[in-house]
Amino acid sequence: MERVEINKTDREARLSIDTRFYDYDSVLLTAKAFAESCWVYVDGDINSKLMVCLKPKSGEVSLEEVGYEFYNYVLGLMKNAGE
Amino acid sequence: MKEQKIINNLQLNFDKNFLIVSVNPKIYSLDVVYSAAKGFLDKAYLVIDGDPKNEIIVEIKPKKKASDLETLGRDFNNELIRFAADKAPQRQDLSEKPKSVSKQFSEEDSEEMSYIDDPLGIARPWEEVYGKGGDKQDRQRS
Repeated sequence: MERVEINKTDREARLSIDTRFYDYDSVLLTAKAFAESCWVYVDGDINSKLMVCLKPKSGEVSLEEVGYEFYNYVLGLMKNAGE
Repeated sequence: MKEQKIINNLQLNFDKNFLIVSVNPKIYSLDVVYSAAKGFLDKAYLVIDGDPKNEIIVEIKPKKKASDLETLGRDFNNELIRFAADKAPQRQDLSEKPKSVSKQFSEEDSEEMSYIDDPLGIARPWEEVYGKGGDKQDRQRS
């Protein structure tokens, strides 16, 4: 399964985030941060897998890069991860 | 042009110029929905319905006919995110725009210090700890 699924028709990047590894609050805070430059939609099961859809407001951004930046940002926010 | 279009949780009805937002209450509480809805009262009519435990339905009808329904729906989703995230514990200042975390790490690691540099200021001269002319074992035996 692709880590970042690209929907070229709607110009969206879709991520499936496992909350066993990524803290739910950090995902929400990341979504809020990305909401400046993207339209963001979060759904799914907070105890299992969250679906995050990202649609950049600007057309000049790589969808795949936006998706991977989201993963990185969540990890960066997660307190005590790897400390 | 299509009369209806479905994008994620948005059902757009172009013919009658309204959209329906399906909201997962396990992610976005009713309070969050109310807060998001209040920001749209000046530009749209909103009706909240559904099942507060399973699915909250928000019907949004823009006051102006020429409004972009998709943008309106996506903006509403962003507001849901904003208010839902405000309830999450604040972990750090998010006033800066997102940037690559890997770039941050590489900048911080560029200046490595060794023990000789004594970055914590804890080094003490041998004589201060063990005195002149002796090592720790000699002092313990005496």
